[in-house]
Amino acid sequence: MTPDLTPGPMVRLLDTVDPTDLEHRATSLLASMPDEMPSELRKRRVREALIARPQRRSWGPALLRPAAVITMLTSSVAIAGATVGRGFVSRAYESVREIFEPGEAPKVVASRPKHVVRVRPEIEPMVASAPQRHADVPRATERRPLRHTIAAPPLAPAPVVRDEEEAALVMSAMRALRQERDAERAARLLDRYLAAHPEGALVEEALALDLEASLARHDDGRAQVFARQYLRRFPDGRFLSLARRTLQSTSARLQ
Amino acid sequence: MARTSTHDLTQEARAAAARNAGLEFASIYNEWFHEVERWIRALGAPDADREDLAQEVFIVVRRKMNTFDGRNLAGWLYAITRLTVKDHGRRAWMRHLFKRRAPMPEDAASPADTPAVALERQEERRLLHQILSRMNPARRETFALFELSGYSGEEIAALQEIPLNTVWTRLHYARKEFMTAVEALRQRERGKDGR
Repeated sequence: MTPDLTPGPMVRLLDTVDPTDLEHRATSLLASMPDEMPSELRKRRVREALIARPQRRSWGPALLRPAAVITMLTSSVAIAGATVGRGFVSRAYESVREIFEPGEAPKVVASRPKHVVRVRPEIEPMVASAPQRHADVPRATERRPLRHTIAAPPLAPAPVVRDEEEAALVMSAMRALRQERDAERAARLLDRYLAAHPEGALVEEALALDLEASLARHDDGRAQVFARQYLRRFPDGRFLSLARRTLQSTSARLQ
Repeated sequence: MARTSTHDLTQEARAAAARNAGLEFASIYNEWFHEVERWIRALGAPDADREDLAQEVFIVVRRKMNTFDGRNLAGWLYAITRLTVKDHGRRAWMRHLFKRRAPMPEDAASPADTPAVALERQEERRLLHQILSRMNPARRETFALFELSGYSGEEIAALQEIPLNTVWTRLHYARKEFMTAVEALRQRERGKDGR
C-alpha cells in the first residue's frame, strides 16, 4: 500500500512555537506587513463612487480601442510602403535621369503621341474623302455623354518626328556619347543631324547632346557656340541650366 | 439589481436565477467589502490602489450579478477579485514600462514609529514583496492568504474552489520556496556584515 504523501494541516509561521533562526527571520519579514483594520470611511467612499457610476457598461471605448489599433497599424504600413516605394521610384528615376540628362533635373513636359500615323501625300485626298465605315448604321444603344467630364489641360502641340532617320541619328549619337564614350563620333552624328534637319523635332536634344560632346572633348569654344545657339533657340528649354552653366564655366576658362 | 430576462435562459440558468433571487447588490457590498479588501491586499496589490480595485471589483459584481449561479458567493467574489487584481497588475506593468519606475510597496509605517523603525519596516516590506513576487503565482496566492491574511485551509479551499489537500500541498511547497528565498537573503545579509 502506498503511503499518503499529501502534506497535512500546517501552522502559520507567525504562530510557530520556538522558531529556528531561519523561521525567526521569515517571521520578521511576514510581520513587516501590518494588520490593517477595516475602514468604514473607505467603504463609504467606494459605495458613493459606485452609485455615481452608470450601471450599464459603455461599449464605445472598448470597441474603439481595436479600431484605433487597426487604423494605426494600417497607417504605419501605408507610410512604410510609401517610403520604401518612393525610395525605389527615386532610384529608378535617378538612373533614367542619368542616362538622358546628366546633371540636369528633368522637367515635366507634355507627352508626345506614341504612334504617329503618317499618310503618304499622294493618298491623303483619298483618305480624306473616303466615307466612314458604318457611318449610316444606327447604333443599338446610343452612347451617352459622360456626366462629369474633366477638361484635360491643353497640351503643347507635340513635335512630330517626320523621319525615322531623325530619331535614329540622335539615338546613335546618344549611344556613342553615353555608352561608348566616343565623343568624336557623337559630335559627327549630331552635326550631320543638325545639318540635315535644322528645324527637326529633336533639335533641342541634339544641341544639348552636341554641347555635352564638346565638353567631353574639352572643346570649350565649340561648347560655347552650342550653348549660345541653344539659349537663342530655346530660351525656356529643358536644358537651360546646362547651357547657362556651360557658358559660365567655359567663359571663365577661355579668359 | 440587474434585470434578468428569463424567456431565453436555459434550465440551469433559470435555477441559478432562482437561487440568486434573494441576493441584493447592496447586501453583498455591505457584507463582503472588507473581505474583498483583504483579498486584494493578499493578492499583492499596492495599498494606494486598493480602493480603486475594490470599486472595480464591485462594478464587475454589479454587472455580473445575473450570471452568478448562487452556489459559492465567496468563491465567486474571490475569482472576480483575483482577475481584477491580475488585470491591474498587467496595466501597472505597462505603466511601469513607459514611466520607467518600479512599482513599490507603500510605506505603511505607523505614526508611532520612530524614523529608524519606519525605515527598517519599509525595508523589510520591500524584501518580503521581492521574495513573494518571485514565487509561483498559485502558491504565492495561497501562501499570502494563509500566512498574511490568516485564512484557514478550509476557507482557502472554499475561496479558490480547490480541494483542501491541494491547499496543503500548495502551502507546503510555497513555504519551502519562501524559506529557500529567506535563507538566500540571510546569506546575503551575513556576507554584507562580513560574518
